[in-house]
Amino acid sequence: MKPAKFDYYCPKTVDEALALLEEIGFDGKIIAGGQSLVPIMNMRLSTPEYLIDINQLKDLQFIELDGSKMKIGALTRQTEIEMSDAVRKHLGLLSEAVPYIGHVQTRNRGTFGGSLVHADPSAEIPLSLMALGGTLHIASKEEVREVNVEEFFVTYLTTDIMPNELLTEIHVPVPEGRTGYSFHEISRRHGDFALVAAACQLSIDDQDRISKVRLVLGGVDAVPLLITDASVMEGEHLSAPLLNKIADMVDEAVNPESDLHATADYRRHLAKQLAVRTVKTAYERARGENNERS
Amino acid sequence: MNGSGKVILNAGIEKAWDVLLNPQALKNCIMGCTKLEPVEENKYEAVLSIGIAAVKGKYESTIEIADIQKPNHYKLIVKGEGGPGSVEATGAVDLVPIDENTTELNYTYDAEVGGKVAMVGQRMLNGVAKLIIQDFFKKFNKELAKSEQSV
Amino acid sequence: MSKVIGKRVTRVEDKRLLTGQGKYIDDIGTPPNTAHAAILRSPYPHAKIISIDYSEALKIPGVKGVVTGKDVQPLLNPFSVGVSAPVKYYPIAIDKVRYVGEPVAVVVAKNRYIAEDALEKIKVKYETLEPIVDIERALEEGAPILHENVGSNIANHRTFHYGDVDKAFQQADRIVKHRFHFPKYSATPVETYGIIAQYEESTDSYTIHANFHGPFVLHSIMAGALKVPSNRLRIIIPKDIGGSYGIKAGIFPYIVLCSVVSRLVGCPVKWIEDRQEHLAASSSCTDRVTYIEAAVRNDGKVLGLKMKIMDNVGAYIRAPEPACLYRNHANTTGAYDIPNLMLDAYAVMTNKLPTGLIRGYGGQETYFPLERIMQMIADELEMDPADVIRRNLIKKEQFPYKTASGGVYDSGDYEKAFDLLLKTGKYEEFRKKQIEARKKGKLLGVGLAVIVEPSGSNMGYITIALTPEERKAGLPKSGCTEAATISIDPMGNVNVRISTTPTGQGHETVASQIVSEILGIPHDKINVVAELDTATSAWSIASGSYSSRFASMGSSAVYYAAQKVKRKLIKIAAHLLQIDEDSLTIENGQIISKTDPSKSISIKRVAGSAHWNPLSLPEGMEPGIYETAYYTAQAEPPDDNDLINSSITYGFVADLVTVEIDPETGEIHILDYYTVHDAGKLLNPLIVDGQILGGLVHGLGGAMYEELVYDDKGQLLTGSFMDYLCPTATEIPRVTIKHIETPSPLTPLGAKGLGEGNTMSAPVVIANAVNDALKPYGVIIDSLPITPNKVWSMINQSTKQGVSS
Repeated sequence: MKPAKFDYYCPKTVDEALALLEEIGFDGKIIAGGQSLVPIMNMRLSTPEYLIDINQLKDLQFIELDGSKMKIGALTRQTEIEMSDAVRKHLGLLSEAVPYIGHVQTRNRGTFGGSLVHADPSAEIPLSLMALGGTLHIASKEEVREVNVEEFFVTYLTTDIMPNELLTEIHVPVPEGRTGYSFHEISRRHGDFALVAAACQLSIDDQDRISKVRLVLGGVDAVPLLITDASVMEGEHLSAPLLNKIADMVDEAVNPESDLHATADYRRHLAKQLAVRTVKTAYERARGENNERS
Repeated sequence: MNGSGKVILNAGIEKAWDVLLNPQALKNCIMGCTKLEPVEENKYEAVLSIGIAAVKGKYESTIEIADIQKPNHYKLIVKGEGGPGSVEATGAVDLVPIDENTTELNYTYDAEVGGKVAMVGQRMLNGVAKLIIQDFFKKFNKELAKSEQSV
Repeated sequence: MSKVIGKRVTRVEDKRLLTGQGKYIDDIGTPPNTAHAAILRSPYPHAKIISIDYSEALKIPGVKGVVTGKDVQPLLNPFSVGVSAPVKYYPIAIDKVRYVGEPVAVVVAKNRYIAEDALEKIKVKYETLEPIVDIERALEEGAPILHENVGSNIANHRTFHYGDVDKAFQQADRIVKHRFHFPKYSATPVETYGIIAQYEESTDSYTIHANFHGPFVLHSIMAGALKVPSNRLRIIIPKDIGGSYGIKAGIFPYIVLCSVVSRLVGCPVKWIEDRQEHLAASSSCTDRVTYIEAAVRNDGKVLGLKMKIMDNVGAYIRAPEPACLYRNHANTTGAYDIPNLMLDAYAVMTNKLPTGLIRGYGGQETYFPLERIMQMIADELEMDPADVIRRNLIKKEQFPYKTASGGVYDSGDYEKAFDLLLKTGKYEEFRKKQIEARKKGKLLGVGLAVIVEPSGSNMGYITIALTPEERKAGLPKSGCTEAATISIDPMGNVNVRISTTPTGQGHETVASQIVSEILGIPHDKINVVAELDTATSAWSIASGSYSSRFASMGSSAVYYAAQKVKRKLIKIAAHLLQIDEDSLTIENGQIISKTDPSKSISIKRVAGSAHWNPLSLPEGMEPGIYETAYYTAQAEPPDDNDLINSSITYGFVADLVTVEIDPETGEIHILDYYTVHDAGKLLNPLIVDGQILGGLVHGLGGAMYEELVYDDKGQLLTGSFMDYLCPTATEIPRVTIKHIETPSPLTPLGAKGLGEGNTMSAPVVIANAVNDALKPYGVIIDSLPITPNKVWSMINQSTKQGVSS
């Protein structure tokens, strides 16, 4: 399990990296944490001619609160997010999701941006960002463009990013008012890929009616699946009939596959279970109840 | 792995049939097909450069069209071998006329994936197979539209 | 004499292992011209090799050579194996491949990177053939045949009739029967196989370094395959092996492959296996289908058993198979007094990875149907499973107990251990809790399993694969020989050389404890050498670490060698002190008179005399202190009635597991795992508990997580740790271990082997617990691993009421 030959570059600045990408991006790969890339290179499933190591681009490692949004650099390590008080306070959903990612050792290397660009349909960070909403800043030599998270994920392991582009930072709106969140996943072992995962971020008004809700499911489609019909909850109190409606909605929306670890039917069933569970918990938390971490 | 599906084609059954079995159209529709050359009647040699994310491979393939029952039914047998793995797939295609400009295409497939990709890629395989097939039919409707124009 | 044996002594190995100073195969220095091998492996489960073109591979700079089956065949014999079916097994495919991962070509290059670059340039043309992986279908008419010259997929088949099975079944009040399936899974040591092979043309000999650990009967098999006299195949085992759990016995084909590659390419060859190779192409346990029938009396007593067992040995049957079928032959009826037994045993070949030793070795496959059927009997008779177990357990007065198939259980008190288990696990209390929980819609379950843990394999047992007539035509095998050497050097310091090739079990520590107690020297002053060199160590065909034999056999060899040294020291001391031998004893480094403590002499002085002043020794005594003891227990070959005591000592393990199942998601939560062990005299309780926990977690793997999955076309689907799931620290449940000790009368220290027990019992006790929890749904668990998906499907498909919340 040794990788094929490659040329290795280690730019010191973002501009240097972008210039390199313009030149060799199409036959190369960016390496950050390497937790996904290195194994597939060692197995020779991936044989990029060039590796562009961006671990020296410290300018891309930051967590900043800027008014009503959180700015997170793409190179920020997952551990940094896990340990960040600011994230715990303002983006609780993300804080709850990160401990599910692999293990402590892999989180020390894995990055926020890397997980987004890798776009595994069961991954926790893409799911959380979808639930929170946000924009991704993508730079190339020529320009910087912004993409909404809803447009970013295209299909399995594929995003809107072009080979000559670099994800630099992500801006996430900070939920305000009476908000609640919940993240949960079911996996075979601790730290494994989720069989199914769910993330819910919602707000309620002063009458406890749901004013805004985003419910996202992972592991049930080619991308993190935003349940758009969930907006039917808006204006309602949470009730048993409403939760049943959500379960039915999820049943309609999901398109899971069968694999070695779980059948499509089981995934579908879990998706419904987790959707109901996370919506319920998020609602309770918005009301100030149920502050136990899952 | 196996699967089935249904696609609506924006052409009459005769037209759909002709384009389906046209090698140039096939080359344009099969993902990553850089070469498609006939070696025998109804048998082609092809090179498919398929990449899903970082996993790219060049697959030396043979594509055989069999069990031809114009214009309703045929079988497609695809065998490909590349670095990341190999595939041997049989697909059955059935065409049902809806009206003079619409045809329903029903397909079933049975694919055996081997090699590295089968040993480590089980989580993604079914989904990726569906992706490749959906991609084929998306491109195929475009081909149909193109051939309409050229007529 | 200060007591050291039986103490919780911390391991002498740990300091080096925990500070990165272990010496493993990859740490060993190699000759400067050593090249590195990479293996091209078959992507197909069953195919003819039409052609191999490696001309492009040879052009890559740094490539020293490429070797294929055609090059290798003239230099090798196929491996000999203990069955009469003429299966030809070479370490590389010759004209056909029969499993995914089978070696097809070997590239030798300056480094592994270049070697793998070259692999990509080798073009192999295959003609695929129909594969077969299902055990029962492989036996049907018209199934694809793997070995044309064998004519069927049966590698071995024997039937055994013990007692009067027909009568037992006539007398029974009812017959309880079922079909069970046990999965194919592996042991996954952190360290994979490693070999440094060197052929020396000047002596036509091979020198191999490898992390192989026996059984050393395989040395003869390797020498036979390489067509060299056995003293021209030198195998050297490194000091440290990073775990094995049996699987590294299966390295022997690769040793032969690397040896012959070294010869063909003309330089030493180093090969370190990677994880993908290990999962696909090293070794594994058998998957097994069992049809079991129990003749039962209405009071729960089992009068007789019929078992049809079909083991899938993979694409080639290779030594020491079909030991998978027969290692537990003597203890097939487990802990129960069942004198009537019919066994119909098949070793079947299919297009899967060939099998070999693994922790438990056939035990988990045997006890899964046995302990499950005991629970099913209880369910049918509406009795508590604990009562059915008690009704059938062998009683204390019956020891030594002769089993139906010829086993002799040396000692035990099964009822005492079982009672301790139920008390520790608060069984009665849990049953009450379970009833209350069901009313609330909660699924609690408790499982029981009792098993007999054999240790110290009788080398004669493997010939049970042959009929009595076939055995008569060959040479008999018997015993379980192990050797140890103890020497004292001119400065009075002790070296101990063992041949049990430890793979992390702490043999160095226990050996030093034994020698320390016998020679009265502090154990940390004793140097134990675990490296084995077939040219210089004392070893025999049974040497190695497998079958939990260190505590029973290895320790005995050390004990007797130490006694020899003690006797010599006392003889010399008696001569030097001019007093009677019988009045002397050893303690605290001194040989001292029991009656007059002023008469003493240090061991250092005595040993020194043997080296520096040999003329002062008693008349006729050899100089130096260097004693080797070869030890065997009375382990006889099978008799003409196919009775065989397949192991030497037999321990006992009783498990109780409680679970809770989430009916919504099918998730299984293990609440508690209680296990009671009787392994005779424990030599080091600290090491023992570590071993037990390790075996338990390995068994947990088979119960709920691990499986080498092949699809029905023979494709391996679990080729990496993403999909082959080993339990990690977070999956380990709360475990409570208790011990009782009924010493073995057969070993000098009363010790029995252990370490495999819970690997054999955990799969079935967890299955029993889950089955018990799901009782309201009327499901029967008869295959593993049990996953939440399967549990949820079973609940969903059940037609019974289940539990209401």
